[in-house]
Amino acid sequence: MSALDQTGPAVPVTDPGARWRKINLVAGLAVGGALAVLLAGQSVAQLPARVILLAGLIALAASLLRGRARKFFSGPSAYVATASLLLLVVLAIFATEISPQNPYDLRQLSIMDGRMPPGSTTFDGAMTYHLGTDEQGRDILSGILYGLRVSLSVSIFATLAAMAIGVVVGIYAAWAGGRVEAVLMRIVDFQLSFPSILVALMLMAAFGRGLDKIVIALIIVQWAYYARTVRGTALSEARKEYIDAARGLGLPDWRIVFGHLLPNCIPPLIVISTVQVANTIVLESSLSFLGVGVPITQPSLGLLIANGYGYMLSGQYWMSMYPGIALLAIVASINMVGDRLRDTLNPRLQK
Amino acid sequence: MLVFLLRRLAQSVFVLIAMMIVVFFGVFMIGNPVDILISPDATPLEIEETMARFGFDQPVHVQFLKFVGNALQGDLGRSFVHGESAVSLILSYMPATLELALLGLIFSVAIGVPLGVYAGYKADRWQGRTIMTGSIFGFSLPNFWVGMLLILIFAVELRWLPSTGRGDTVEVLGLRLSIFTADGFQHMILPALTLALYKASLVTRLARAGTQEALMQDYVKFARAKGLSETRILVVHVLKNIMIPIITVLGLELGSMIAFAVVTETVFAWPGMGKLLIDSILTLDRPVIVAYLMLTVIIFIVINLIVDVVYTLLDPRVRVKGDAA
Amino acid sequence: MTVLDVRDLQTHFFTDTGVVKAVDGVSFSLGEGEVLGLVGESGSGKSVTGFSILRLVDPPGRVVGGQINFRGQDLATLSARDMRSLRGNRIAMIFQDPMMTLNPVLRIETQMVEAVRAHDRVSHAAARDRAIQALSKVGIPSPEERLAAYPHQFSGGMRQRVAIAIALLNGPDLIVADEPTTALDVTIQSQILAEVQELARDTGTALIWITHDLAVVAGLADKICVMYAGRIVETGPTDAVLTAPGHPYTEGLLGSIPGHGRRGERLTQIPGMAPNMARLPLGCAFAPRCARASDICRTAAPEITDIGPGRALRCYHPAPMAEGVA
Repeated sequence: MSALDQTGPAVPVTDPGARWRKINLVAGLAVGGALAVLLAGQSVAQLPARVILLAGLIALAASLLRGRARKFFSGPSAYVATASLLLLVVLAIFATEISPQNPYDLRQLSIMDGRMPPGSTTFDGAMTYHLGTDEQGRDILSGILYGLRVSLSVSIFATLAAMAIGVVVGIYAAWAGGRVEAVLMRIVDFQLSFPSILVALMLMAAFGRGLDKIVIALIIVQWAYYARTVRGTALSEARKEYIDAARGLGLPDWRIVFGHLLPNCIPPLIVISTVQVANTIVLESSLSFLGVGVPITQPSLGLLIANGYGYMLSGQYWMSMYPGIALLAIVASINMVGDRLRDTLNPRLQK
Repeated sequence: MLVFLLRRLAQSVFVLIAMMIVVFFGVFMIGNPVDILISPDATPLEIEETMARFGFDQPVHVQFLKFVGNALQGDLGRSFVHGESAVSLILSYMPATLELALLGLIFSVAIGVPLGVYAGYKADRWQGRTIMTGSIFGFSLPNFWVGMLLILIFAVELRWLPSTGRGDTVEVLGLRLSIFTADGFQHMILPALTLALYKASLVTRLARAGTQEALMQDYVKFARAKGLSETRILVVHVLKNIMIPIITVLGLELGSMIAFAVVTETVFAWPGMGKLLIDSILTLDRPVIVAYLMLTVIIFIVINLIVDVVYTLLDPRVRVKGDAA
Repeated sequence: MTVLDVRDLQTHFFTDTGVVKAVDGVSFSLGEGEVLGLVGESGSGKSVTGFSILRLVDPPGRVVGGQINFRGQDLATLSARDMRSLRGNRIAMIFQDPMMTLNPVLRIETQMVEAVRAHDRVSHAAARDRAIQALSKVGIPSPEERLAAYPHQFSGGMRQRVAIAIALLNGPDLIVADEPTTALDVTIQSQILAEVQELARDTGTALIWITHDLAVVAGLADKICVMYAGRIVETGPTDAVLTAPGHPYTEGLLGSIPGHGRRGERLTQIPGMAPNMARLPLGCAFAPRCARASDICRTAAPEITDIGPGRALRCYHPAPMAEGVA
């Protein structure tokens, strides 16, 4: 940097993404580590890992809103949406601890308690089914909490992975240019010309049901979208002076791309990915509803709704209704937060 | 204009070829079709015979070439389940989906445009904010759940509208349609509304953004300086300007409407090609899946072309440039 | 007879960064058939003054004080409904950029007929006849055919003629023209100037001509108001102001017109930039750019004072010539 100061003081060389990185890196590592522990199924470390996961997520959100909180919270809907999102995330993370019942432990279920309306109690009065039970005597409330976890984790994981792939492809296309760019972008255009649900439906028809399979399908459906967006951002960022400055310093390509270009392509993606998580939840639940999504052993909210659908017309509404309300709540609060984020982070709207 | 159309056609052919490859090899992966063609207790000889009859014993590339050759003649195979030509099967289910998607599109414009224009006009007031928050809910409501709620409210509780099926149909220009009979139309209202809700939110947002932008333009200020009423400014000056982008987007969304009809049709047991697709996926009826995909691609291509033409008709500026070219 | 009498007009913009007093106590009056030149650089509040008269200031701007007496009615307090019936009817406006003022997706016919029928209950055919007359009045050839055209089929000059024709449709008492020739070629500019002047004289329409160019109003206006930072700094009959400017800002404007003054003399320019309206200096807004500014200029804003028949000035150190006239 010192060499540059001597040559041209007027060139803005401060990299606008730099100061965010440290906090985000620590929080990101914490989240990643906690997830790894949880996915590995280490029963001893489960609770601390969950607490760390939640803390990491809150730290990430806080660093995102740092200095912009007043703008973000400019209206009652922002508070409501943030509070409800936080609540739902906490419920999903601590589902195991909060749920009155483990809905997938068959030993805890009693077929005698099947299809009981909300407020019923078990035969011995030990437990109340606040939201009723399904046809197998499973507590709907517990089912919703576990389903919320499945829905959220599937969508967040798929969105992040798709984002990672999209970012790599998009930046590579922008940086490489020429024929590579043309071919990659044709593929992206081709895929994006088909509605996501149709592509996902076909993929799931080919793969069969399964958590891993639906995650893969959701990644394939989304990556192209990110690739297109990132390419656009990268192209416009690459023309800016700080990239020229970095080139002038003789930095190798990979350092310019990862150290300068990449960090500045991420912020616009945050808003998109927020909304995209909501869309993915809806898409996943639709696929599950159609019977080509998550397996019956690990139902998401969509599958819970589908399971109860048959009883809806006979007046046993609670099996579908309550999971539906939970689904609406999580999707709507993510969308509202995303909407506020767009207004807050979008530099074009700043007067 | 002609050059433009020819170039678009060439692109379309390329898309079709790409799609044929993707579809064939994609569907090739779906299950083993023999499983559903033959009873589980068939002898190995019977299995072999069936494989040979359908050509499954040949190498993949031979099957593909045969598939392409047949496809060019409009033959995408016979449905394993229904036993008739997959193309004609899809075509017989298509009118139900198309009329549903079209009515859904009309509903979404009828709901979304007035709300969006009003929200744009009152952008900083509570009315505008309320509409925008409402539109977020419109985005967030999962299609199938909305359908269920509508059935629960209007069919089960209030008993105002029927919940499933197409109702009476009538033959118009060789197509069996529900929309022209009173009973059929009643059957369409709930599914079309379900299908429309998401797009209505989209249209609301588009219309709001367009209105806000138009209201800042000089021609709106000039219209006010002429002493026109606010209603006339919104309904004539603003609306005519924002309809162009809305029509463009909606035209392109007709395709996704048809795709999303898969969910809606399942909820309402609407016998369209979306329901047929789901049933075919669940029964591994390969030819029908392939035919659905190929026909959908063709529909998308046609829609895109139509949108371009309509766009030129709507916008006098584009029209003149096109004439000159 | 007085058509328009503006008294102490205040139009403020309430932005996130503070209140901007775009128009801060502007007063002037205008008789039948009179032409007023409202002169100033961009951001001086001249256009906002024009829009304030029609009550067409967009939020966050608002007329917060003063009176706008138009034929005995105070427009500042008139109901929105009554105001609308005056707009385009008794008071018309012509905008700066003819490329933007006509709605691109509506035919000229629609845009003219609606302007007539917004105020008169006449048939479409009658309104159309009036549109044809107005178009031929402003020199548009074969107006009947041109009615079916869209704005983009006209050149910039022709579009501005259409806009002027629309302003003339209902025979207004007052036309506010906001830099209507700035965006046009010089030759077309002078044609339109001449035509507008003739039209105003023939019909007795009063005209407010807003411009940043003193040369434009020199041959057109009866009197001139020079605005700076939301206030009128000098006003008077055109000849008097042009021959003996009193305010250093007016002098600066005059000095920067080529061809004015003696040959061979250097063109002068006003040093510095237009002030930031959100943060005006304490005293005279022009002081930072003024060669004659003294301590008092930087601490207290000068009041506007009469210095002769119809002439007023807002300056502690007026040019000596102006005092001689008084």
